Amino acid sequence: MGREVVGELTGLRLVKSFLCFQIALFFILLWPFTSSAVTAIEQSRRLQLVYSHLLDFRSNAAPIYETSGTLEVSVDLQPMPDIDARIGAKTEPVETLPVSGRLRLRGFLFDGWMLGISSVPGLTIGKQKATALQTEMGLRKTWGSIQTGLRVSQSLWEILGQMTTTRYKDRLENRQQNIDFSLGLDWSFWQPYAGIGRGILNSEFWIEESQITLKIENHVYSYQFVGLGLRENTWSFNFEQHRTEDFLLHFQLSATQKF
Amino acid sequence: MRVTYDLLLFLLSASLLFGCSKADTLGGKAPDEVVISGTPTWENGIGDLVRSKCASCHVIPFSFYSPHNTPSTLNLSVYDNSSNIRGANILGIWINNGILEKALTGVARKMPLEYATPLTSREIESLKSWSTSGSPKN
Repeated sequence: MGREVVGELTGLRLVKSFLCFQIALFFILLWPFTSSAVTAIEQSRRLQLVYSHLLDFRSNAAPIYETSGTLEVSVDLQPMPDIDARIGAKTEPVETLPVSGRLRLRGFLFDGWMLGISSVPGLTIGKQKATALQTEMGLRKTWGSIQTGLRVSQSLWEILGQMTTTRYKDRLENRQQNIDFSLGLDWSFWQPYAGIGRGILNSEFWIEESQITLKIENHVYSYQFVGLGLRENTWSFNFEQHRTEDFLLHFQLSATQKF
Repeated sequence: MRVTYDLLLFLLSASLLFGCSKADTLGGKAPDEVVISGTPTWENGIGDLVRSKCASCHVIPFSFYSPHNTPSTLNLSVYDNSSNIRGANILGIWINNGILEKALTGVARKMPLEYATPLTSREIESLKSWSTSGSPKN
């Protein structure tokens, strides 16, 4: 009998969570992708922005208030979208893996304060070597089942390898600062949430063959996200769908062990 | 632990169903085009076309997009020569010699380069028409 009641409640929560999640996702997907005829320089800049945003470290967690002393270790995975790497009449021979990832550590201090660090430690994948480091600080507050989170972060990326040609090694260096706010609900082990964020990107792309550096300086951008967290004992899993500027949709998954 | 696996499986399934991953890189978009009406001259359209499709690299001083081997004595953003810098008036000869179709021995590679904005068929037609008529300024 008890199991039946719990089962019904869980089913109701599931329906509620997904209704909320789908509505948010629907609004995100409503924004159309638009663009007209372009120059090669515009294509080059857009490609650099897309790769930079895909490197961006996001929250990838529901803004759940955790007690002081809690430590989280996470693995984040990000499926990569299909990327049309054509610039002018040339298709850049960049080969990305279907999935990228990072390791993340978050510690919760007093009154909802959070510190975090993420890393991709010099991983050589295919023809490229990626190194990344991110630090973040956040504040989470709770009012009953309503949860809020404010987060600032800084990421540094360096990718070395074959990007514009297979005969030379190029280098992409990114610096990004982000701030985002998220609002969520804590329904037992379901945590639907949504948020908005702003970022500043500084990117330098050194092309060895041409010996030029393509720079993106102080590019301010916005992003929105909806997510769903699932929590069971000390484990939690998370799905987060992102929309960045008006040209990129991507999602991230994470598995977290809490100590 | 069984519940944990179920949740993970559920989340992965939900991600596959609802996750959206898409990037508009502009890679599939048509190249920008300068359409010229009337007789093409430097002042009537060719100047805009050459500045858009050629002078993004061939300009003095060099632009951020100019590769390292770009000639330092060629400025296609202007028509006339100045001191030791050649202007776009030289283009007519090169176009007549086929630079839009092949590399010219001792002069240049086939232009535009593959990672530059491609010329459309109408633009090529306008450039050839301008060249055969002596690449006039006005």
